[in-house]
Amino acid sequence: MAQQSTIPAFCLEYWQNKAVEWGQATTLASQQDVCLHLQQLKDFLQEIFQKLQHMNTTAAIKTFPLVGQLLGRLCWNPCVVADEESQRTLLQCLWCLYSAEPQNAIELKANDWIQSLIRHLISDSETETENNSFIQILGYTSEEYHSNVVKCMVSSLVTELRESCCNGIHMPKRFTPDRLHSLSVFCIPLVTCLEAAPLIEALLTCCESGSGETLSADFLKAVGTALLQKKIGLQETVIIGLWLRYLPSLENVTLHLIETVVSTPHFSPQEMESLINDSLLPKASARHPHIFMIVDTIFRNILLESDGYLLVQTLMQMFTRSFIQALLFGEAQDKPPLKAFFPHNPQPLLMALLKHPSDVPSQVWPQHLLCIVETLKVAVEDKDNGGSQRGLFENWFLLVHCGDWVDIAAQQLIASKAETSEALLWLLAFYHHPNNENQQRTKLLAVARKVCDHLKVLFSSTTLSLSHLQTSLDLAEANSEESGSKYMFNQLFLNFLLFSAGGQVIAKDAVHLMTHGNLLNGISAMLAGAEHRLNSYGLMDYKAHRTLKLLQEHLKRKA
Amino acid sequence: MESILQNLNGMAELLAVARSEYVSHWDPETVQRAFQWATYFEHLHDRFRTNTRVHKALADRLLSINESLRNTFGLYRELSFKDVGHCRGVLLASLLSNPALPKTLSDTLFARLRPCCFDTTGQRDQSDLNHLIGIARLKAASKVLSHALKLDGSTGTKPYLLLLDPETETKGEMVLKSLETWMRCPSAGPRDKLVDSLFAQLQQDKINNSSDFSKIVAAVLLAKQTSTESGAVDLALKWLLSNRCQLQTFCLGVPCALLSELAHRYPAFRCAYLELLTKWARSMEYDFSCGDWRHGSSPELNWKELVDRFMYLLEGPTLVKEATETALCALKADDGDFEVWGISVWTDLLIALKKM
Repeated sequence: MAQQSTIPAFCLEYWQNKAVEWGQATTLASQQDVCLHLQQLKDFLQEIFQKLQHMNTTAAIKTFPLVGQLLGRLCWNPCVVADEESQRTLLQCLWCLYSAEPQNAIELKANDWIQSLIRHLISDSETETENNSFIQILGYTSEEYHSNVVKCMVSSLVTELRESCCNGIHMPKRFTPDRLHSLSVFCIPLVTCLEAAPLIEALLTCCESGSGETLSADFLKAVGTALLQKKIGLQETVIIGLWLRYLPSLENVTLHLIETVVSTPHFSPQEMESLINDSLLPKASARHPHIFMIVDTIFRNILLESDGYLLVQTLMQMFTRSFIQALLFGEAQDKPPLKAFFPHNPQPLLMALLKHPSDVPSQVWPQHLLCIVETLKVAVEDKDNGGSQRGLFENWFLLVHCGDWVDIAAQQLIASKAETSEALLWLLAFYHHPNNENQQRTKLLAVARKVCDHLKVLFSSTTLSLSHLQTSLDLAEANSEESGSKYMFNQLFLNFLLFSAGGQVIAKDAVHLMTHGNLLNGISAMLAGAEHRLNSYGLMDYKAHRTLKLLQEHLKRKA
Repeated sequence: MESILQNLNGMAELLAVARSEYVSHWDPETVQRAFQWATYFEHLHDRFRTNTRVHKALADRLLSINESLRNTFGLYRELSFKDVGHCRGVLLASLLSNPALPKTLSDTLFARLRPCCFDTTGQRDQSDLNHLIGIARLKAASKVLSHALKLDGSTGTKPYLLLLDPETETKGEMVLKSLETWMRCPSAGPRDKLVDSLFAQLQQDKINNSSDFSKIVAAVLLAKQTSTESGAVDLALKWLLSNRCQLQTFCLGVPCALLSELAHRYPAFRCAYLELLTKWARSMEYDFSCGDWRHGSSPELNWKELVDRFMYLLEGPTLVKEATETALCALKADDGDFEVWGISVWTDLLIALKKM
């Protein structure tokens, strides 16, 4: 097994030797060897195909003299042909060597040979005479016949597995761990075969024998990959079972989700929500704290590596929401307590933050926000637990999970009373600068306070002009070296424009000034978020809606 | 409707010719027309797939077509209605495997097997290629699974599961299912005749390998998924037991363990089987020169076989075991209840069986 990791991916000679070896020995062990190497073989065939695509036959044979032999041998190997992907790539490679207009003797010969090979591969299965008349008398096609044979074999294996796995303590198991392992290896090429699906499920649900994993890791990997590519479908419990026993499959699903979200920045909130729910991660996380920890760790790492990239934050917030819902509304057997999922955060903070804004009436929001700020301050400034660097980070990270509240805070800020404003400002500043080592938070707080005060004065005035905002805008500009601060100020201004009495008139120009024509994406995303909040929280603010639409259209035209 | 049936004739003939030496006269236009016809038939299939009345009419017509064409053409490939749905694939495969096809045509046709990604002319309907590829993949899958089945497993409590290979088992189930489908059809004739004709056809098909046919019948009787209302299995059993000679061939072609299982499931079979064995044993004569029991006319019905068969019955389930024991003892008593070797075949049988 150690040998596998040191093989260079592209090594024709290695595979040629392998193919000879497989062809000569028809023992069970050699066939298993094929299955174990299947994924690597598929990668290799794909590489060869990429190279052969751009060569004509003579050049191909000159560069890779052994390739014809290799492909030929592989065609006769059932383990290679049974897998859909490898069969397809094999055919494509063979076709690369076929010349539509042969130029020389070599090409002619190659054509003949390839024709016979492909005929064997394809048409013989349809025209074999052995079973044909029998099948046709009954009124079946040869496809149905072969499909039924496979189903029959699958069902007898499944019956044996079921009987063997769920037995009492005293009955001897028919399926020894060795045999189970070997069976799983043989199922590697059959993972995407529709008729073999019951067998795959039965293998995955077979009771664990206790000491270590009996199923082959390559098999589990193949199932994980097929699931991700949506080539097979399995029941939810089976999928979650797979994640629990083979961690890389869970990691791949999480990474795939993140990649999809990051590479398609124009997802609507509903689309993102359904994407998250379809991945099954929230449900799985709600049932198994272990899974939640792993997914959360991956999110954290990506967030930190990407320097707090906005889409990742949004993804985390939506994931947390789905996760909490799954936790609340999932089946009631053995629900783990919140502490199991968030061991480093104090319970009061968890209770305050994990309640989603849509579950709290909007009149209660100011009080709830105050509660959040107070508990957060206690947690963060507590010298024993939260004061430490670790505690600070954990609590800030929890806040990121529940970032919806931060957005609400920004929305409420301008219209709030003096005592509340201070708290809300602190929350916003903390969100963008959790670390106050160099007094960045304090500085930001000071500036933000000034801007906020200024905006509050202008809030109810119905006749506004751009010049009124100029001082605040300049002040914000001067203190926006870091993207976090800039984001915060943009939030403040945008909320002001949407909800103030006279904001609509100057909205377009103000936005233009705020962004100097750049960073429109950031503003668009903020607007999308605001729209989502207005729609989901049932706030009947027609004026705000109108201003929002105005800005969105303006930005669309600019883009 | 009549025109469709006529066209069906044409299609069957087309596919038959495609496998014969007449293709040597074909040219590119003929090939193209042939594929156009095939596409038309695929549409036909799609249209009438759910209409059971038309479906049945077409299927019946095909049966008669099959019969007549089988006599005309040497290598005839029987057709079923479902084949019509894959007409192009069948046509393609038949032509490609026909050595009489001119090389240029063969090469052009071969190009149809090219996977789509190469096609600069955009997406082509590759259902014929996909159909053929799918079959090849299923065949390979069954080979891989047969490896998996061979993995060392301790003997289970159902030995017969291991005795019927998956192919035979599948064939048996398919026969049963077909039978049930045909029996449900309102226009089907008397059920006995249905079974008779079907089995006669299958027997004819396997004329060179009667043991294969017997195993298939055994698979039918042992099939796991039967709907008891249809009574198909009972009819099959009735058919088997109706003919002495047939039953004998059956019992000789099927492994003893399977027979024992059949005896367990079907009391009627148990009686018939025991009768057969009794008759067989009775016709044995003791050969003094070599001290062995022999059958006068058929040397293959030897002593060892007889003993083996009784042994399997005695090792079988309780009911079977008891019935056999009772029968043997009764026969021994009838014969005079001797304890000495060489006089009564029953005594000797019991002695030999006790030794094992």
